[in-house]
Amino acid sequence: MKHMLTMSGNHATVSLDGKIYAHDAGIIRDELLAAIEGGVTDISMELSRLEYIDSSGLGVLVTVHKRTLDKNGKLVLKGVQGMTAEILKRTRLDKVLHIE
Amino acid sequence: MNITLAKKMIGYFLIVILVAGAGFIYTIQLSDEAEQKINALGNQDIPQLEKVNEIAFNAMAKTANVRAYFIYGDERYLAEFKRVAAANSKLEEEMINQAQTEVVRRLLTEVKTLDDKYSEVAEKKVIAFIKQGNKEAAMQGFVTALAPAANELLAKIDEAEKVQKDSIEQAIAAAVSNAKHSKVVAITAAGVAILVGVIIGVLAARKITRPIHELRDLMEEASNGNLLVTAAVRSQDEIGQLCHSFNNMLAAQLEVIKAVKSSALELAAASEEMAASASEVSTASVSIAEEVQDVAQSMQDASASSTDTAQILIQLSSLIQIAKDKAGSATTNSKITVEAARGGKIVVTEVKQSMDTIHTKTREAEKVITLLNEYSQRIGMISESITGIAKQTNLLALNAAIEAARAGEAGRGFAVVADEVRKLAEQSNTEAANITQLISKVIENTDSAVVAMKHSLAEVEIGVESVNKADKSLENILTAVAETVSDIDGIAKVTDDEIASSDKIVKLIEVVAEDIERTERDAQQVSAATEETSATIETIAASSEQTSAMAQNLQNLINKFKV
Repeated sequence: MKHMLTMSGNHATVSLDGKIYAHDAGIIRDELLAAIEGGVTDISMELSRLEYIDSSGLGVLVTVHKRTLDKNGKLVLKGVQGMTAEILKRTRLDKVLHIE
Repeated sequence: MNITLAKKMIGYFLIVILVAGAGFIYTIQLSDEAEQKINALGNQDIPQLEKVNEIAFNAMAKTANVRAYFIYGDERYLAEFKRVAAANSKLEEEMINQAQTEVVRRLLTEVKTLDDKYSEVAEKKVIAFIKQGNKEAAMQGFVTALAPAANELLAKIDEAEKVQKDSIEQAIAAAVSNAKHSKVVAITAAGVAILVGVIIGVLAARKITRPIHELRDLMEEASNGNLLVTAAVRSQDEIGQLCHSFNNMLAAQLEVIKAVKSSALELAAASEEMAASASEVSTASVSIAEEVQDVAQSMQDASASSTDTAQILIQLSSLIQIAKDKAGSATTNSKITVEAARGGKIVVTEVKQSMDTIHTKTREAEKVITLLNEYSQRIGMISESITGIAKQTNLLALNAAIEAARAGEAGRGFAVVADEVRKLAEQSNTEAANITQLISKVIENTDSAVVAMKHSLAEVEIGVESVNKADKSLENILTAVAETVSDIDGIAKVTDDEIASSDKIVKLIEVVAEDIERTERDAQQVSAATEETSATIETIAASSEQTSAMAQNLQNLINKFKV
């Protein structure tokens, strides 16, 4: 997995590539929670090059979503497709998360 | 034996048919006679007439052939004349034999006689002359003999024809008269048969319909509700059977009416109960509808909750998986820690051993130093002895120098030796002083060394104690790390459980969501079904009211019957 985090003010953009497993999920979680602690409220995730995400990654999405809501911000998922779209639909998270 | 109605009817018809049949038989007999007569006419009289005509024709042919022979003289005409004459003779004989009446036979005999005579005259008075070539005589024969004979023959044949024709006319008249008689007889027979038939029919109808009328009256009475009437069975025929069946029917109807009456009462009661039950069911179904509505609402809430639950589950699953991952790292780190602790323990053991060695060696050194101190003191004492000896030696050297000086020149050498001795004594004294000084320093140092050694020993003991503590700490660390590794293993094992695995959790969430969504849909369907049920129950309630009314109506109807 490759990921890139850029921050400007209270906004952060994350781009996720390849496949995300528990180890990667842990890293992304730590980074994003640290960013939220550091004052970031709005996060947009670019998932168009994401090939696979398991429930550990989904859990991170949900946690980040809830934390940003707590801070009156929001998490927006962009470029959701393929396997990612399928798994979001199966877990009904497509009804919870903001997908553009 | 049962005389059935059909047999009776057949009997009546047989009588009518017998009357008609007698008429018909008589008519047929008359017709037979007419037929015989007409047959006789066809078979005898008319052929007879035809034969007479043939005789007349042959007679004419004979005349014609004789004339032709006379004119042309051809023998063929003569042969033809002879053939026709023979045929006519044969025909006349047949007719004489077949003649029915004496008048006819006589006439035919006369015709034959005249015909034979004509042939004879023709042979003798004409043909013979022609053959002779005497045409004059032949012509004479023609005119005088043959022509009158021919006229006579033809007149007789005419007479015979006339008699035949008269006979035929008589036969036809008789046949016509017979036919007319037959017609009259047939019409009469038909009329008599119709009359007899009508009379018998009226009588039979009266006989048959009387019990039917009686039965009709009884039926009317029964239809007005009196089921207690009974038809009298007077005969064994269908009417009797009908009366019997009527009685049976009334008995059966009576049973039915009684059963219907009791059923109507039961039906009224049942339909009231049904109405009451329908009302209860209706109330129950309203309550069910409300509950189902609640269920549907609950399912909607559950759907929302399940989304929350799904999020929490996924977060939990995520955390467990991340924890598992971190547990893996922790296990690796713990192993490194264990290795480090084990290394530390080895080092500590080595240190401990070194410390022990130091302790032992220090103690040995202490002993050596103490010994050294003793030796130093003894050296000091020796040094003092040497100093004393040196002083004495110096004194002795001084004394020797004095003695040498007194000895003068003889003692000069001795003086040099005494001086050398004195110098040596002084040097010994100095060296002894140095030794004493050194020994003092040595003693001082060995004392310091002893103190230092004791201090060192104390330090070594403290060090040993510390090393022991360190050893213990390392032991504790090893134990703790082992426990940590075990705990982490436990965590790893717990998180190995498939429930926390990604696929399982996704599947679980999906299944729960689907279940809830299905239940929601089912609840909606049940709600719709319950509404339909309510509607149906209302229909049933309405129907049961109708049934109740019908039961009442039925009772009213049944009350009309006397039972």
